[in-house]
Amino acid sequence: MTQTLERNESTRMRQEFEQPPGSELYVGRYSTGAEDLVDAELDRLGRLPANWDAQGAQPIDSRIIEAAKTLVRLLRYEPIGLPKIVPIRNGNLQFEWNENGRTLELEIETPSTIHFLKWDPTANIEEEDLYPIDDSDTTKTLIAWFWGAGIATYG
Amino acid sequence: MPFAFDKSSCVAVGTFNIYILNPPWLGKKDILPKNATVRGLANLLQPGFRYEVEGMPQTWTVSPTRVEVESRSVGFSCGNLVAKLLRVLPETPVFGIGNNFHFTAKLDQIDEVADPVRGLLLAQSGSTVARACHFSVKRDDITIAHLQIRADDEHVEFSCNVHSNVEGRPDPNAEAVAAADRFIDDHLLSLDLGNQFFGLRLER
Repeated sequence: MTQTLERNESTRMRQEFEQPPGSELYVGRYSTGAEDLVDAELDRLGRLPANWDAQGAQPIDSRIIEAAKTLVRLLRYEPIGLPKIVPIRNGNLQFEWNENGRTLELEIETPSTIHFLKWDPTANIEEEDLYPIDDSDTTKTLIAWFWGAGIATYG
Repeated sequence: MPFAFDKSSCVAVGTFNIYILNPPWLGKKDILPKNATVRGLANLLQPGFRYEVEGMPQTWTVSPTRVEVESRSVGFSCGNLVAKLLRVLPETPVFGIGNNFHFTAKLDQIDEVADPVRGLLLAQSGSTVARACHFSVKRDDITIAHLQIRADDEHVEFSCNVHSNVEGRPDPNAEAVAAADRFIDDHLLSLDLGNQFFGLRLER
C-alpha cells in the first residue's frame, strides 16, 4: 500500500501540474468574507432613516432586510463575488453586479419575490422578470450568467 | 546558472468534502485571507474544483481524494496552508502528505548534472524522447524523498517529492499536520538532495 501510494503520488504530481486545455469549467468568482461584509452593509442600510436621500425616500423595510440576509445565507458557499447593495427609495433594495459592460440586478421587491434584470448591450441581452426568492437555482443561474461561466480556455 | 525554481505544491491525500472546502469556508477558517477574490473552476474530467486566488501565489485543487495547494513563488509555504486546513479538520481521514518541488533548465545546462547521471540523460537510443533517473531516499519511518531528474530534447527537469505516509499511524492527522508544516524544511532538503545525488545547483 505504501509503495502504491508513493508511486501514485509521484505520477499524479506530474499529471496534475498539466491540466489538459478545456478540461475545466469556469464557475465564477468568490469573495472570502462576502457574507459578513454583506450582512454588515444590510445592517447599515436597515438603519437608514426616512428621507435618507433627501428626496423623501422611505426607510428600508425590515422584512426586505431579513429576506436579503436569508438569501445571502443560502448562497454563502456559492461564487457570488461581492455584489453592491443599493437601497431603493420605495424601501426595497437590490444586489448589483457590474463588470465589463455586463449588469445583473436582483431587486428584492417583496420579502418573497425577486425582480431581476440582466443586461449586456454588447450581446444584445436585456431581460427582466420576477421569480420566488426561495428559488435558489434561478439566482445561481443568473449569477453564473453574469460571470460568463463556461468552458475555460487554458493551454 | 542554477536550475530555475518552477513550482511547488503540498498535497494531502485523504477523504475530503469538495462542497465544503470552498473559498468562503476557507475564508471563515482564516485559511484564506478575508476579502480575497478567488476564481473558481470545476474539473470536467473528475469531481473537483480549482481555486485561483487573485494577487496571491497560491492555487487550490480540491477533489474527493486530495487537496493540493500549488505555488510558483519560491519560498511560499504551500504546506503551511495545508497544515492550517488539516488542523480544522481533525476527524478527516488523511493518508499521506506530499511536499513537491520542481526545477527546470534548458538542455544546454545539462553539463551541470554530475556523471554518471549526465551520461544516462544524454544516451540516445532508437526513438527515445525522454530519459529519467529516479532515487528514493528514506528519511524516517514514514517519509521517503523521491528524486527524479528527467531530460528531453529541450529541457532538464528536477523534481523532488517528499512523501509522508501517515496511514495506520496512532494520530495520522497530527502527523500529517507536522509533515505539511515541514514544507520549507523539505524545500531546503530538495536543494541538498538535488546537489548530493545529481550535482545540481538549484534556485533558492
